[in-house]
Amino acid sequence: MRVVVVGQGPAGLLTADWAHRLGAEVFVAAAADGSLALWSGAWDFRSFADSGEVVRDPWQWWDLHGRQRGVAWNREDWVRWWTRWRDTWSAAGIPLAAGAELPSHNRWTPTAVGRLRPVFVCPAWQWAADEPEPVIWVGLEGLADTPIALASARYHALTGMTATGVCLPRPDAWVPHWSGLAWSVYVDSEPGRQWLTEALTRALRDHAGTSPVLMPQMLGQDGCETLIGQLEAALGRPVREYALLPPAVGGIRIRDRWKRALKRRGVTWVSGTVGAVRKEGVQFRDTGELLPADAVVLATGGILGGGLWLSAAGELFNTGTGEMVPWSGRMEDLARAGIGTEGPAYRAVGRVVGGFDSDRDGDSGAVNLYTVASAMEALFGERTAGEGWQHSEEGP
Amino acid sequence: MAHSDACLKCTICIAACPVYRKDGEFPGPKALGPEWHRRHLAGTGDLMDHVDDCTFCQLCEGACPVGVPVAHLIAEHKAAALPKQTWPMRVRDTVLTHPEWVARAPVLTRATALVPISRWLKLSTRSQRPSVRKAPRLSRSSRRAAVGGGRPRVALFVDCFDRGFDTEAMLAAQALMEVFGFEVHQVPRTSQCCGAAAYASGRVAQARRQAGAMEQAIRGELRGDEVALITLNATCQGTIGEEWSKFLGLNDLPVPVIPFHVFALQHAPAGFWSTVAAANVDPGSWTWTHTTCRGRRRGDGALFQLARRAGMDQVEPLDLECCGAAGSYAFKAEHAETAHDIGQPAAAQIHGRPGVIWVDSGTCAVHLEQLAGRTARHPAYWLWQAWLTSQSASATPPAPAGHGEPRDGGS
Ligand code: SF4
Ligand code: SF4
Repeated sequence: MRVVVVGQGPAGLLTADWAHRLGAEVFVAAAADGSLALWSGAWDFRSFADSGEVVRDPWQWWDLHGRQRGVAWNREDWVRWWTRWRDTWSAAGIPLAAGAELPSHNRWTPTAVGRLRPVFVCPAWQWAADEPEPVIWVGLEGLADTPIALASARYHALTGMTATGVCLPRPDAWVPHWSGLAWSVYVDSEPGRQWLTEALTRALRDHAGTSPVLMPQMLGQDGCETLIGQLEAALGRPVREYALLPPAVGGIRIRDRWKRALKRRGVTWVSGTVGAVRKEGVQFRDTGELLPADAVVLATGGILGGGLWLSAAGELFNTGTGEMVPWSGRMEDLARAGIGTEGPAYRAVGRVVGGFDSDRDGDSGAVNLYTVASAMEALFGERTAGEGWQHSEEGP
Repeated sequence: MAHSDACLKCTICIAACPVYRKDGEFPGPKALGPEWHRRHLAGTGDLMDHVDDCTFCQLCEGACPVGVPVAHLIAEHKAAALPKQTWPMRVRDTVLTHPEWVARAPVLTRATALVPISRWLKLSTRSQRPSVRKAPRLSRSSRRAAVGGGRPRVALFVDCFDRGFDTEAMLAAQALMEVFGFEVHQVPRTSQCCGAAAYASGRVAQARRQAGAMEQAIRGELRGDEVALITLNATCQGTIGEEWSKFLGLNDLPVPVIPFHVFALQHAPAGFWSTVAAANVDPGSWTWTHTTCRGRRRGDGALFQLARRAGMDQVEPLDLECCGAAGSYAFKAEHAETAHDIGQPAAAQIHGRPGVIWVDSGTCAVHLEQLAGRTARHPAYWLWQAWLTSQSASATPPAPAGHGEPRDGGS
């Protein structure tokens, strides 16, 4: 079977990965980069109830409320697909935090300004904890995203735990426009690694204890695990990151590793804007070329991701097909608008299916997992049950 | 340019830029492109340092979710900065942006092996120069069509690099397409440039002139019944297929412009692939495929499929979005270090394993060969070698013949 996936955000890459594991020849058609570079890499399953209260156990929330939202899974289904997702990331070389094998509840992860937000699972480099604990909060002089006094004071006020604020003076190589990504490039170099190790050691000299060191998300790209290991050895404490504004180094690490792994397995990328989806394949708008397919999966994102487009006249369009999308016309419904899981010639996955408001509810990980798994079941049927599933692909 | 003012400041282009990810001083595509352009239109656009460090790989532009022509705005920024160049650099860039001159006399590159000349011209003494690979004569029997019947026609585009330095790849592509059952003729007859090199250096007006002359030449030589114009160089492919109409004010050519490897995947008969694959030409060896940055404007993975279809033993894509060569970029002294840093991961990836590199651009091949220490050639060359092996295995003695060399330059 030849599957064309339109879009390369998290839902698109997951679809491509799984369709390939299930034996399909896979093409990713994309007009632009996906959203991974805007995101730290934390997967939310259900962070907030409809009332806005924090959800402790997302599995339980889906047990109780899933059916009302059209999600037909029981706990066993969730766990089966969760396990596959976790193994998929691990095969692509994306490490999950310890204890994330099968989490039972939401944990806490910090924002750059010292707030805590619930999160279900993070990559190994990001700090997340069951309960707030005393921390060393590190900022960088010359990185505006890290307002250290504000962040540590707020963390203390919200949790009652000490947050020792430490600001590292900037290195000679520093340039005013440096984002977290540029910092990560610097600490990936040998002089940068040395500078960081020395600056941190010096800054923490007078602080006894083993509380974790929270760094802005800039601890290197492919070399990040090695660097974190070296810093932990030098400092005798755990070292983890907190998320920054984009370009987001965490999502870039995930994007690079995942795409490399998929390319090594033979997934093909075709650039271009898809303007029409038909039974026989997708047609590109600029060239008119047809990319033949037995099945098309739209992973184009919702109104924020660009999968839907709102015209000045208030009409909503599916950007992948050009079709008009019915909606109430009320702005408050816009985030939940979508095209459904199935169209005349496609399946849809991720936010574009509509009915979810992932930014408000904190459930994008679950929505991606559920919609992608459902598409796999629709396309591959029985094969998804076990036999046809390949776990053995090598990582990068 | 359409969408030049559409930037949402999302930073996705920054995350795609290979120079930003190696060089801490590089301000990145968002700052050099759309942000500079807004100020420029408002009359407050001071020229920024490092604008010339952009390779014009266009990965930023391919990543932008709202279609901002990021790299082409940066090219305008470079154009505005041209008067700041010193005159040895101007001399150098005049030569580097006329690859059609070098293609007529490739021996000229040997002069730049003299270090004082290179120093004065601010040419890199570190980046390897291409060597001339002149085609041997091709045997007629090895080019026999694998299918019979009427032969549709294709035009094969002769780019400056292949005309000057690699007629082997050019003739391999021609012979293969004949084997696929096509009648092939080469265009243009005289050495011309599509404008890519000048555009990358910010010489936009010069690019427009060169492209216009090339377009005239090609139109004059097309016979009207070609099914496609086939290219061997991803940069020329992008320039002719996309930039001519979008940015250089030319009309689309009357035929589709298609890279050789894509054409081969679509049009080589099944019997061709099974014959080549059965010959098993590289047991125990690796084939690394690299789709150049400009090739990625069409996507990534077709070269990998080509190598697999040809039965190569172990195929692996290089983990590089861009190798750093970027046409003449790596040949400029001020860029040599960045160019090498960008391509360096290829060496680490290949480390210690035997094999060869398939890559869809001649200058990238030179650069990768130097960095990784493995022979890097155009896929047409490798595919032709595999076909020859499969033919000698099938024991038909090849009969001597010879035609089809480019008529201008090539030695
Ligand atoms: S063209 Fe390439 S080098 Fe230049 S800014 Fe864009 S991504 Fe960076
Ligand atoms: S990707 Fe496009 S919209 Fe986003 S910052 Fe770059 S130019 Fe602006």
